[in-house]
Amino acid sequence: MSDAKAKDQGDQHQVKSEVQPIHSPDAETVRLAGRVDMDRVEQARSNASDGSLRHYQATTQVMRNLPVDWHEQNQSIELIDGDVSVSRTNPLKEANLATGHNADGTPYKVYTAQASQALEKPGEIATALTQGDYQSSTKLSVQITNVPEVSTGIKPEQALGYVGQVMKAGAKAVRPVEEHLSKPNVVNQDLWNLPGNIGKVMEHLSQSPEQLDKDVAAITGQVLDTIDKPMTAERRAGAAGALMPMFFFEGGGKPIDKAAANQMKLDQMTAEELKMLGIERAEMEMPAIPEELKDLPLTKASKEFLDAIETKNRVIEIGGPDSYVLQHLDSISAEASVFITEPLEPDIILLRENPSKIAALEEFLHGTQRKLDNLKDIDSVILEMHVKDFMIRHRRMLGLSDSDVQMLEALKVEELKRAKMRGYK
Amino acid sequence: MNDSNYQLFFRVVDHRVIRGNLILVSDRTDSGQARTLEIIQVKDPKGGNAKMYTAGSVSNWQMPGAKPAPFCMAIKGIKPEEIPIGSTVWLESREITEKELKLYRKLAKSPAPIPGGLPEVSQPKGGKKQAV
Repeated sequence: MSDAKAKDQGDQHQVKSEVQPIHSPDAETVRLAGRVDMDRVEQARSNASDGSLRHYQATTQVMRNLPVDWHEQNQSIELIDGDVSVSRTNPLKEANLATGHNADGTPYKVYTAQASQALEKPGEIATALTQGDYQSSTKLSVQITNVPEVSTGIKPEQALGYVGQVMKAGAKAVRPVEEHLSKPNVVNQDLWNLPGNIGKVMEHLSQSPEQLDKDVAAITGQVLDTIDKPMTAERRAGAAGALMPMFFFEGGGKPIDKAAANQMKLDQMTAEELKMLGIERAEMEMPAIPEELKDLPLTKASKEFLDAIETKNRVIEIGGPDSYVLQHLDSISAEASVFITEPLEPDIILLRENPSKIAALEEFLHGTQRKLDNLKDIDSVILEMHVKDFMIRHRRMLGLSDSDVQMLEALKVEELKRAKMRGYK
Repeated sequence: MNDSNYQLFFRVVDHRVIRGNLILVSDRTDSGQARTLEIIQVKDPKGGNAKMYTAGSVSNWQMPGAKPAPFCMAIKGIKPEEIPIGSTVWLESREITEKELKLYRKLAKSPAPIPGGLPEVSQPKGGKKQAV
């Protein structure tokens, strides 16, 4: 043993020896207290707990001897984890801490309404719904609303009235829905703006899980009588639902945001039907065509070349003056066309007199595309891009000039733009 | 066939008969979701009498800057009276597939061609080949 350690032990003995018993009168009283004194002190304590939880377990025999205010004391310790609280009166297990239980521990079921106008999937149930006073066993998850803020409500017939008003107004443009919804309290304000200033939509919807469905059915039935379009009942119902984003109409003459147009399925409506809704379909904005492209000296298709195409199970129709083929090509502003009508039928290629080689070749290659397994059932716009890309990459094999390739490049850019407008990213 | 799977594709605004095929001229310029061959549902102008046909999409070659051609479909062996102008054509709804997206991205990233084409590359005959 070292000298230092021996010295430490000596100090400890010295400290212990310095502890002296308390000789005050209170200490003497405590030391000499009997059971009667201890009972009197216990009864005088404001907190009757002895520090042990065993008295408060439901299975404990001692429970019948609990103090009268034991229930209040049970709530004195509470653990709060996000949406759920755990206390003596609500003894949840770890598994219960996942979402799906109210603050009081009662489970709830979520009914999610996939609103057709919603731009994103509904998020988690808000904390405000699972805590506080609103501890229902049924939750309604709606994409576009912040429930606690919504105090106004809308009845089916009033919603119909609003839709009618919107249609009557003949909206010219839709403000981007996302931009509108990003503003605070916006849905609340929109509802307040409705005719009649109606109240308590969520109370109305929370009457039963099927309430929303009932309302939609009621609205749809009436809207169908209003909108006369050649659509199936289901599609018309979809269109009626798609009208709801028109809550956000404002201004006029602006292009409709693409995302909003897709959500409302406007791209699936004809120009005539869009006009009924007060919307004008404009032609796509294509990139400006360089002037030099208009006069490019394109390679002409020789007779031998066209004959070779016909030997590959194609039928070529060249539109002479006053022919029905030329009339058709003129009417659609096309240089060439190709189509088939049955799986095993030969392609029918329509050409003008003295056609360019790339026009004839491109229409020929469309027929080759449909024989390739990896290109079957592909969107037409992608096939158009693909055939032009193929011709550009194989320019030497196909005997194309620089001007031909330059033209193909410009056309490929146009197809790329069309594909983007179709939703390809 | 579930009728609700079909969505309105276009309204027929004109007819052409070419080589025994009826060309339906539509009121839209884009090809929508149409493939080369489609099973379409055609309803008369009153919305009834839905009939199914196999129709081919018409692909057009247009010069840059030309007025966009209306989308057309061709049906073999029927007369214009069978599909009067004003009829509606319905197409089975579908989404863009992963296969199409993949092909689109590949084509969109395709580099521009080298002016004048790729340079000629030759290897000396015989002997060890050189890396290019």
